[in-house]
Amino acid sequence: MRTRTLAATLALVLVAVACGGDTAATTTAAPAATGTASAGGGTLTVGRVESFDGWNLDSAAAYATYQTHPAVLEPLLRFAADGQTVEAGLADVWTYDEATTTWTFTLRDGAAFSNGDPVTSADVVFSHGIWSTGFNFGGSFAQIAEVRAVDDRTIEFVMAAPDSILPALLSGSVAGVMPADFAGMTEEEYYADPIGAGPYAVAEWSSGGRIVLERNPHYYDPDRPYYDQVVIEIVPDDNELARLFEGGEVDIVNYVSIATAGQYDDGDLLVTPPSQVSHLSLNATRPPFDALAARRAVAAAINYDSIVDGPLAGYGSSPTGILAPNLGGWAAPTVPYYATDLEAAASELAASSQPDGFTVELIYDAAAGTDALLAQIVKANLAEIGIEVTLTGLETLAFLDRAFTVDADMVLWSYGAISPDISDPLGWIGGTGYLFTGYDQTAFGEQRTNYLTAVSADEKLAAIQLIQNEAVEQAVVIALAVTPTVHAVSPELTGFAPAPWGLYYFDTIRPG
Amino acid sequence: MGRFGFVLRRLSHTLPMLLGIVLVVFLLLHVTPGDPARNVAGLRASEQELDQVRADLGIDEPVYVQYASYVAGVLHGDLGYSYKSKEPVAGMIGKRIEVTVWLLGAALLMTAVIGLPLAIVAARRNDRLADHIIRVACLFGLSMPAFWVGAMLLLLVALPTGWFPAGGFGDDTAAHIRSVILPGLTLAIGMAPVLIRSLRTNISNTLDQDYVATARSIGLAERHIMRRFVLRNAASSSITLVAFEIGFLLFGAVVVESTFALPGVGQGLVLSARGRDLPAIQGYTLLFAVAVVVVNLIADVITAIVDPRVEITT
Amino acid sequence: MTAGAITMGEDVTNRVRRLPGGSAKMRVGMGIVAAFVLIAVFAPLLAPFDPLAQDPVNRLAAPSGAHWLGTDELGRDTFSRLIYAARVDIPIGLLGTLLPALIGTLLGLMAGYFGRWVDAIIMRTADVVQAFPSYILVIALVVAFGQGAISIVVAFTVLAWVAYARLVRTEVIGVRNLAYVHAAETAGMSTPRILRRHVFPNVIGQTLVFLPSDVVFATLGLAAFSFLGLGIPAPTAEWGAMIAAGQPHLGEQWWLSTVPGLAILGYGLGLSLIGDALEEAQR
Repeated sequence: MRTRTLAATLALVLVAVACGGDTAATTTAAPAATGTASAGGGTLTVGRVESFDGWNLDSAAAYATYQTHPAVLEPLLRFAADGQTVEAGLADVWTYDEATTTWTFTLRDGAAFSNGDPVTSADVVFSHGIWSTGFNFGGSFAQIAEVRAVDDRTIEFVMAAPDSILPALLSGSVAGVMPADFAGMTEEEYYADPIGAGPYAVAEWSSGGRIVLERNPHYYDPDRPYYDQVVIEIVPDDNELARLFEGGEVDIVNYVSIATAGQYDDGDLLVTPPSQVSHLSLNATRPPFDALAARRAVAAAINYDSIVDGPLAGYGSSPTGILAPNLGGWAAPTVPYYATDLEAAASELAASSQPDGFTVELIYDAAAGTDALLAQIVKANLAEIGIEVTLTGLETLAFLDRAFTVDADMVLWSYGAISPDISDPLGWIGGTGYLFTGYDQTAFGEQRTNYLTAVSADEKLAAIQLIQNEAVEQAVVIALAVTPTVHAVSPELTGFAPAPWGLYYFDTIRPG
Repeated sequence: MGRFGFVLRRLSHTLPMLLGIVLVVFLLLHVTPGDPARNVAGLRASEQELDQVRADLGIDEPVYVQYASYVAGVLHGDLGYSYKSKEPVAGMIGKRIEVTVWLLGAALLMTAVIGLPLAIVAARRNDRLADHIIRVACLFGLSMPAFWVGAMLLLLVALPTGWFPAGGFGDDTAAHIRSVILPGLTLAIGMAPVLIRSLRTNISNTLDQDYVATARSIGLAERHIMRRFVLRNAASSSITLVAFEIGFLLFGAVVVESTFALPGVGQGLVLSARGRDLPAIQGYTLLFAVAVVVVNLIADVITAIVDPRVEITT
Repeated sequence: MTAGAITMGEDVTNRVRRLPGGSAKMRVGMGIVAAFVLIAVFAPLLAPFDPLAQDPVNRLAAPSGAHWLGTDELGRDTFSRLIYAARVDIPIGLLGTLLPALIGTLLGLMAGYFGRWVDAIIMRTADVVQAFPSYILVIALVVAFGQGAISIVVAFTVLAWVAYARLVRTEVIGVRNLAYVHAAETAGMSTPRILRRHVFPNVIGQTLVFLPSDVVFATLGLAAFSFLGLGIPAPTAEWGAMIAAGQPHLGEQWWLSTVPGLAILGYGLGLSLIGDALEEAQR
């Protein structure tokens, strides 16, 4: 009896192995793409590590979310792959009137929601009401004094001051256009089952599981999207994600971590221009880092080359300031960046109030593999000048708790942009208490306002340079390296066009 | 009353125990740092906005109030909604249970398939070469970390041959079966040695008994002896062992599901814990606790039925 | 089972020395464990490099004359880290087993001997602990106490005492009703004395057998926690953390994960041989 059951089980297993699925025995070299062949149709499979935050546009925190939202809730404009210019989205004409400081947007023909309703200016006005009252990003819309519907297809944004960045702001995923009054649903019902005017509609979703998007039959462009369906798989282990890619079960892997990049074939990786800043933030509100000398000692003691050529080898570049590069409006500081000089560091420390060194705590996000390596390098570097660093790797939420309350001596993290203008990182820097340091933001805030309201390119440049210079001179936030975002793409695909910070649109991808 | 009363009594112990577990989790999560409001409101929210979110979620209430309303909800079948994505927790968990059941089923099946024959061989060839080889093999199985075994199986078996998927659960039954073989094997490699050890002693003891010798001398076939005397006794102790190992299995599920990208409850728990999604964490905790209790109960009942020598006690 | 328990009153190690097969196993097992312990103790003398000395540009190097097992993801010498890791894994594995063993044995003794409500409370608590998803507890502890040895040991203690308590309790119940224990009670011997003199020695046998494999589990558990990011904090060398850190490099630098795994395996082998020998001594 036992033998028979055993044989039956084995037979069952063999049958399942033999006839199930589409992954026939392949060589390890080329991954088989799942969305191929015919003109129009098929499924694109995307793999990610991060969970999805849900369909409330304002509560987006993960790149995974910023990247998924516009596929369903398309904003008025879209960002170009160069990361610096904007293109038409739901609106195809936008003009600025200096005299009245008013932007006028015109909705394009054919823009329609997935339920068939055309997109009208009433929808835009309603959506703006939601965006500007959001907890997370509401403040970004502060410069908009009033929003008016001129007619069914034209909307006016009256700005409080001269403005040049509204288009960039409106190309961000946060500014997705929603139907007026949530198409008759309550806000909660809407977020469970959203309706948008983007290339795709939601078939099913889960925050930690898979998301299935299906073609929006009413999308304004008949040539896009190519794929009928996009399936997004969330796989928390990035080593496993690499294996899935190699096995041909996902076509695209977003935000491959640098530590895992070695597991992919070089030819499958797409590396964007550097756009993420890894930074070491020093607590400026209390000893020992309330003293400039101590901070400058740290800045001079860190071996930037060993960071860029070590764990970030092939991907990292040396930092040149605290602002994320490759964005519209970026400028380098005009003062030289720190050079690794242990003697200078030691003498700075000797001249400070604690010449014998001290012990401090460094907190980092334990989930970020590269951060763990960077933290260990910092610890080793600072030990050379007598600063003892205790490393505390924290779980992400616990880490953010302490970081936002400026509770630790040193904080190590990284950030990047989500829209094509430097005003985006400026908002992030300001909103985090100047990158978790508690540093006095008066000068920074002033220059930020100057940038937002500046009219000429020279004025903008000046404001940014002042911000960068102050940061370098004060050494409160020490940029350790600049890194790109890395993505794995099946060679059978074309049209994958991410901006430097890694966000892209599904509807430009096709086989080829 | 006998067995029926036994089951009833055990069940009556169960409810307060489950309530106790949920309370402990509540308290634990309450004191650990990591603000769920931050996860919901977003990284740029101000302190006032966070307060508002806390009020909306009801987490600014005292712990006992939250606990009471949660329990009331559960008794009505309402497990609450995920803080972040507003999905109903019951739905979230429901989707994942299927995956984990497949995984654990495969693991138990393979443990039995590997463990039983080896235990019998080891018992009959006591202290001879086969026994020692099996012993050493058990040592290997016990001493290898599950995540390492899983990664090795993927690298050495799944990817080169293509017979098994590199991960995920698949869309139809055949795909499901293929996708749980390697993960189940990973867990079985850790569990089979424990089963083999315990069974080996058990079987070898039984084989030494007088009544077995008598049966043999009468001419009963070895197979019959096995089935009649040995396996019966072995069954009860292995079932108890499985029940005891359920905790290990569930923890193993967390690790293995992560390694093989299986969207089960283990992975779900890890993700909810990361996001401090209290309703989801509590939902999973309740599920784990119920699973352990039920498995233990079933094990005790089956043991009582199968092995009449065992007395039913609380 | 009861009959077997009485014969365990004899000194276990004496019996072991008498059995030829048993003593060889015991010797080999002890030898292996002793070797590991010695390596841990004399690590500073045996390791060619400082386990924390980084050389990030020379990372992930292949084994060579200078670095016998190559370098890790930050250019540290793998061989030195392997040796120094013994100083973390061995003590924590031991502590994380002895503490629960002590506490579990004590509670099991009490539950088995006193019975009734003492038994009920202890066993119900055991049920709760067993049904508890351990992952949550570990997260709570790590987040509360921070990463490190304390959280790990506390987590193990809270979770692992159950096995010992149940084991001991079953044995005690088997022994409790024996004539000579009754005799001692009627003679007026105090409870602690009864426990110590008559009950405990009979019970210790089973626990001793279970201990070595439990140390293996504890060491593996530490590795699993490191894999989940909850183990000993960086940059301290620890076998589990080394396995986890080597995961992204399984294809090219496979030794980074494999060799620490082999270390755990070897150490576990020694312990299991000891456990086997002890078990044989009782048959």
